[in-house]
Amino acid sequence: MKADIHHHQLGPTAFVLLLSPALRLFPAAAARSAGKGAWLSALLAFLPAALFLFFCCRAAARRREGEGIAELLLRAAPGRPGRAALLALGLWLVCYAGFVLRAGADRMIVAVYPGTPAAFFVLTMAAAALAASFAPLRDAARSARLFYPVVAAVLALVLGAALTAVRKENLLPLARGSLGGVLRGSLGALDVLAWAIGAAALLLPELPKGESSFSRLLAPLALSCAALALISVGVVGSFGAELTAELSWPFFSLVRNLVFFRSVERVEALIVALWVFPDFLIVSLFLRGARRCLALSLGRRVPPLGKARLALPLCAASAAAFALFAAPDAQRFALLSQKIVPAANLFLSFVFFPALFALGRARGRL
Amino acid sequence: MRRRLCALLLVLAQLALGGCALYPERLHGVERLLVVQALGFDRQDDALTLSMVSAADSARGEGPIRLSGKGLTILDAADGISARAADEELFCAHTGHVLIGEESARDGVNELLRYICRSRELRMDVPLYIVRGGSAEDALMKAGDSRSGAVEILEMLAASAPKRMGSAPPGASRIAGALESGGCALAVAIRCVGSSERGEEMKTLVLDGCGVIVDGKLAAFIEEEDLAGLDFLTGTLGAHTLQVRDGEGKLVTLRTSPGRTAARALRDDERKLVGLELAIALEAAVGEVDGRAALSDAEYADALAAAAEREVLRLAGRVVALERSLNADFLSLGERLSLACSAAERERAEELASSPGTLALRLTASVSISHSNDVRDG
Repeated sequence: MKADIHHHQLGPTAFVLLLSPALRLFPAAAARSAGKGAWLSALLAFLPAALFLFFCCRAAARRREGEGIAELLLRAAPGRPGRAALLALGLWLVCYAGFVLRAGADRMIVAVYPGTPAAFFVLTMAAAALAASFAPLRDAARSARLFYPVVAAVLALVLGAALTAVRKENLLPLARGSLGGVLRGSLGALDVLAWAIGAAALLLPELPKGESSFSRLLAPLALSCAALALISVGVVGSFGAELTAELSWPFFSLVRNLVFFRSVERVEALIVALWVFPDFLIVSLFLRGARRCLALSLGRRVPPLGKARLALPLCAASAAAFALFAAPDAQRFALLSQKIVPAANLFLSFVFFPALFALGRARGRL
Repeated sequence: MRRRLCALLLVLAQLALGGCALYPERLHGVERLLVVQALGFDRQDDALTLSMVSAADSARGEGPIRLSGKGLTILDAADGISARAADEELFCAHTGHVLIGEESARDGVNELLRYICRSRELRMDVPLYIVRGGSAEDALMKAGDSRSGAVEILEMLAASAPKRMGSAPPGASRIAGALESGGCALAVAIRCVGSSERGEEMKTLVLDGCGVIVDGKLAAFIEEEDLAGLDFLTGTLGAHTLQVRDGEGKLVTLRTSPGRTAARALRDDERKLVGLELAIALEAAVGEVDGRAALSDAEYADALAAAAEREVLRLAGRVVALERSLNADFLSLGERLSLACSAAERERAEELASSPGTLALRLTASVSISHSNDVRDG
């Protein structure tokens, strides 16, 4: 297999992956927990996120050429426990892909097309992501490299314009008593950052050994923390923490207010449409990852992508079904989005993977 | 073959994402859009009156279009208007001004603010005005003439607001945010008055102070002449006019330049935090005086500066008195106290700020008479 993903593609990929949950979850959740200190939450999350990145890099260093997370897990816990864990992970990836489809549809419906059935967006994106998931992983990394300057530039433009409307009394002062809230808010930022690192780790099978060094990935992580902090400054600084906490998509509400060069306004539809890129990347990457995990959990070798005629469409159909049936209304979507998914992500990142890695190390299998 | 199929699928998917298939009615040309630029809300008991005005189309020589309708809710009233304007599609995305009548504002502005925040079409920071002594419907329907209407007048008022109160008219999101966090907010007030511009009698809109909204309801107004005091206190300090008597009893009109208001923690003899000190520092030039202003005479200049300081304190004191009477911190004194004190004193500051009506406040003013424009006085 030709392995041509390089370390300089990991940072942009993780950044693009980050943007979808960052805007869905972070500003409102951090404002609810940390109030004015939401921006500080993002910065405080850097240290634990760096520790998680360090752990991921150590784990990646233990793999053999061509191995990914699934193979590592199977080596750490061979036999039935490992296969059961892989099955759970594979199913989770399918469900998460479905959740991303549903969240993308919700964003479109709330910000641009109210009243449109979610199924329309879910099925369209599932079909597009399925078509892309037949390509090798290196194509996902390349597409992330293409999306990265576009979404980063748009984010910078929006935040640059939003910072002019920021009111400092919405961000300062921070009372000593608010430290607990700020730390709770940083858990949300950590969740998003750890999720992006974990999702980027799905590229491992085509990443040569030694490309995932900690020092090379620290700068993109710092950039991601800074981006989260700036998003909080822009949103909370403009609306205030209380109003931000009540908004469904505060970042896109902020975009709705922006006027560029005193003449261009109401560009939210264009910007919301751009966030299709991160969703597309996540879903196509997760479908590939789910296929790999499920195939290995069933004790089979992972077939080449060209021969995955049934597995990938099945994964995509399951993800679409999850999107349509698991959260048919706004209340259940909010429960999934604000409670279940973040909790599951934190569990996977800080309990599931470290525990299996520790087990593998203790038994000398890794 | 598979690549071609994938490419076809992707292209079809992108077309579908544009929403064209679902929204054939949006394919109408822009010429069929009625671009609403000002909205008015008046609630009386169960009936809500919604008013809409477009801008005049000077290129075609067409005046503004004014529409109003009643309903139980805002959307109900909007549907009624849409039904009447069947040949045109109402387009509210570029609404630049929202008005609410005084009576409705006294009943509460939360319904309107929630609607704006929830609305997909309206910007959340659209400026909100309270129509003093009248209804929003009257202001939008009657202001202006056949060539220009309320939109053009409101644009002009919005542009002049920063000069009077130091900032642009607060938008709905800012008001909603302030109400959520501090329970009170300020909104620009306007009044519909008669005018005889261009030799014909007509109604126009003028800025008329500022509405103080407490717990979602209009509680009081800051009068137009006290806006300078509000500006001095909030520290934005635009240019204002002060009229004072000099040492010889002559009326002197001073023009203040943008200055600064410093907020400092006020402590007692034991260094315990007891309140807030606001130090207003201004420069002023003599703009008008009946006779000579002897500025080179130190005694005269000091007396003039002292008179100006007294006037600044009088204007600021009136606004503080209003804040005390409403027990509402619309001057954000609590926030400023938190910013001014040390981290160790934050809890004490929050405790003091919890009762804005009794927060100890010391006001000081320092006015230096800088120059007298082009005339060498004295």
